[in-house]
Amino acid sequence: MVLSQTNSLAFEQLIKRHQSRLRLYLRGLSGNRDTADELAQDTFLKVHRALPQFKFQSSFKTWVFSIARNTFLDHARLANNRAQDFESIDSDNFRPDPSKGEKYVAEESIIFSIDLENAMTALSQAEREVIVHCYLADLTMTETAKILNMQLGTVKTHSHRALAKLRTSLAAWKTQDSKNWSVS
Amino acid sequence: MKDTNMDAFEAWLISEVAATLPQDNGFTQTVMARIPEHTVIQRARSDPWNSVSLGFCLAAIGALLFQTASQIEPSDLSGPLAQSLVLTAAMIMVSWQLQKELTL
Repeated sequence: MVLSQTNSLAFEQLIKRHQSRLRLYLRGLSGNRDTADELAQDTFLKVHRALPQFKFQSSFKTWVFSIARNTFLDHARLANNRAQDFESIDSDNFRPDPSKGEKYVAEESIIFSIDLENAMTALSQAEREVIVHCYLADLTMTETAKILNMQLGTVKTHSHRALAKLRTSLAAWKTQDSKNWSVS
Repeated sequence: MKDTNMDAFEAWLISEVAATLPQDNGFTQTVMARIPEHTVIQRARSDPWNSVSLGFCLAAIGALLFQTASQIEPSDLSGPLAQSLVLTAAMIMVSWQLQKELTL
């Protein structure tokens, strides 16, 4: 199967639309920028191959992120490096790489990414997954419940607990800026 | 009771996360460049099996053709003439398919 020009342009638009959130989501899951980008590429290739089988039983976004999650789980299983990836939190993971033509990102955003990643290490596995799905991937709680095969109430509970922990862990950000939230 | 403090934190978290979204920086083009290559690899992987099965098919038809053709009486052309012609046509078609597979 070779992409026709119209399909090719449509698929390109599809990648442009979802790549940003998908890469951030996979960074959240893997904890490593390069691994995440490789997995994101593999995900889009799988999506391309499986597109004729998409039955519209779920939203397209949910379907793409389910494929991404399975791609990550396969990778983690094969390489048996999930724990290693989570341990290797490196500030370079969040810095733009000029060799790849990446542009300047505000220093505050980089520091926030590092702080958020560190704060997420204090979460349980389920809480972390819920945060990655709801806030990094920008999925709804219903979509998250479907992908994680959890009850909606369970997702809400994990989300609430995780947010409370993150609010405490990211308390330093409250003192730096005058945000309308407090730790207690 | 609604926790407005938590809502404020959630809103702040969402905006901070949005600021860290990776830019495309050629990512889309990298994926697009991999798509034809990816499909070619898939195609190439399946070719040897197609060729092998077509080869077996050709050998089987050839054996059948030899068997039926040997029953034909050359002096008056009696015997399984029609079967031989059908098998010859089948053999030509399978050979053509095999040739296509091998030249891809």
